[in-house]
Amino acid sequence: MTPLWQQSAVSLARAVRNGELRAAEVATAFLARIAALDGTLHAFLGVDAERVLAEASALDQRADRSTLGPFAGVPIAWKDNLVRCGERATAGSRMLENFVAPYTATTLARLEQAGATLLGRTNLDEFGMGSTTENSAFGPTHNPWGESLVPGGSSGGSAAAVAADLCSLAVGSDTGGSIRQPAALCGIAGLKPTYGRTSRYGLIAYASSLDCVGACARYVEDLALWLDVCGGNDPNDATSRSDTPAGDAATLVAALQQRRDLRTLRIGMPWQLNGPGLEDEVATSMQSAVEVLRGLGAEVHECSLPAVSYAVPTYYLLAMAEASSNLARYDGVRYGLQRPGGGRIEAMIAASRSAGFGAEVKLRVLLGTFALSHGYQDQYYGQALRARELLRAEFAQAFEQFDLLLCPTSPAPAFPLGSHRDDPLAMYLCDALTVPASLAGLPALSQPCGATADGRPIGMQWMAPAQRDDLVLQAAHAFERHTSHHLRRARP
Amino acid sequence: MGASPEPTFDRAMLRQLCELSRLNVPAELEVEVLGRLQRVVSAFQALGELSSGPDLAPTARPDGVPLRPDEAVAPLPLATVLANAPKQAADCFLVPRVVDA
Repeated sequence: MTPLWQQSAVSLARAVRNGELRAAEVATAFLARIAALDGTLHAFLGVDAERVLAEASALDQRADRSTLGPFAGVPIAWKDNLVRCGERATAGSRMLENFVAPYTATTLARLEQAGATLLGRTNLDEFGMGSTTENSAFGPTHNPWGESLVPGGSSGGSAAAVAADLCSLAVGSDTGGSIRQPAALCGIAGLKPTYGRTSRYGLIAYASSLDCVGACARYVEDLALWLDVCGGNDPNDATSRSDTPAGDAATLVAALQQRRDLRTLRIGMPWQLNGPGLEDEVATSMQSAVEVLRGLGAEVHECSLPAVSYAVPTYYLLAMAEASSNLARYDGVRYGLQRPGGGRIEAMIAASRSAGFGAEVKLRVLLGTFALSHGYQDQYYGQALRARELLRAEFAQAFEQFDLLLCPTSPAPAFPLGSHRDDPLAMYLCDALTVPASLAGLPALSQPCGATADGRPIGMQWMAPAQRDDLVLQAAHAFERHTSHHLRRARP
Repeated sequence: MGASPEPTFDRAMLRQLCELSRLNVPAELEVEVLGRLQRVVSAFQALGELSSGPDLAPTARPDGVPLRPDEAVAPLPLATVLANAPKQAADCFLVPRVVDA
């Protein structure tokens, strides 16, 4: 029999609803696995085992199990920049080390409502700023495929937890690739929905015009169920889209069953994202994947998106500018770390922020402040806004010809811890293939499509027009059904 | 931006940015931080090659941000709001003296 921790979320929930499994039994199995493996991985920042077991047991007390929700008893982790009432929410920062959330993020509230067992808080780069999880104030997470390797970031804890089967699904946030890139480096699937399809209420802000709540899991069907449950309008988030009904469970899951192959689908591969700067083994894996897609009936052609060549500076200028504004709230007065400043309030604020923020966060705040400062705003921030509009227009044009766009998720597979630490530009280029979809607000999904000779996973990324999350899920599901990359496991 | 010269980051500029950002950079780290700022901004100069794009959308949502009904909702209880405050007194956040007596 397949061990509990290797079953899909959909299977586990079905078994709990049918009475074949108890939620407490599932929770106990996953807690034991975390205790055995997370000492070396450091995927989690906090697991309140007592609360987990109490909530799972409460679910088991429900008289009519058939009324349990679509995630009944499924162990789900969440990135520690989403708040849950009564739990710490650190955002990977000393600034919020002791912050206890007074309310619950919409995404987590919807999962609670759906019967999920919320397992624990996962590690991240501080405030989501990084591509390796090394920028966490609480130490890096290690990749389950090799402890000397980075898991990607910023949702590296979430991706590592799923890849090591420490949870069935993990919620994260994706600003410029923070779910997709670690999913690729850890060999699992990761979904960034259309901007506004999931609520940002309760997500600790980094760059609000780009921040998106998403998830990673081993199976595409689990991601579809997650978006069915957690997507939809939320009046608490003004950027949440009103053209997606909330709580319309099973719509996307049902859509997966409607497409068993890729016939009639036209897939474009922008050459700017499919050649320059790719490691050889990434390019080879993509070629093999394209053969599979053609075998499933898809038409695959090269296309061009000239503005993506400018996506990295565009993304970082916008994200840093928004971060400098969003992080202004950490003043050491209302919450967070406070350091004395010699009796002056301005000095106290500066001392608190300087002690509470890590080096990368401070660099990005300084750069964002520069991009917004008098004399430079139009040259940098204004130009980045214009470049984003240009990129959006090019994507719209491409989607007149193609249903989906495809490229690798990351130019390189997982690399050694510490190798990019002193070079911010090398770190920023890790996101070169994921930031275009973020800038255009498009749905994008990464899934495993191969591996290097030494076994490190390689991922490919689907992109579709806004609100066509169903298309990226359908294409990825069809590919998954005909390949076995997603079944490779780092930790038996 | 393309026609504009690349700015040179010096100590005076760093001090101004620190003032605006409410951050301190210790003297022994100034050279390193200045180097990082310069390298990143140099790399971002490439964006100036792009000719001006289309008109800007005013928000992240192309269809505009909807307004919520103007209804009063209950705020978080005072005790909850103050629970995370580093220092508090008499149901208020405590800050250093702003105006000298």
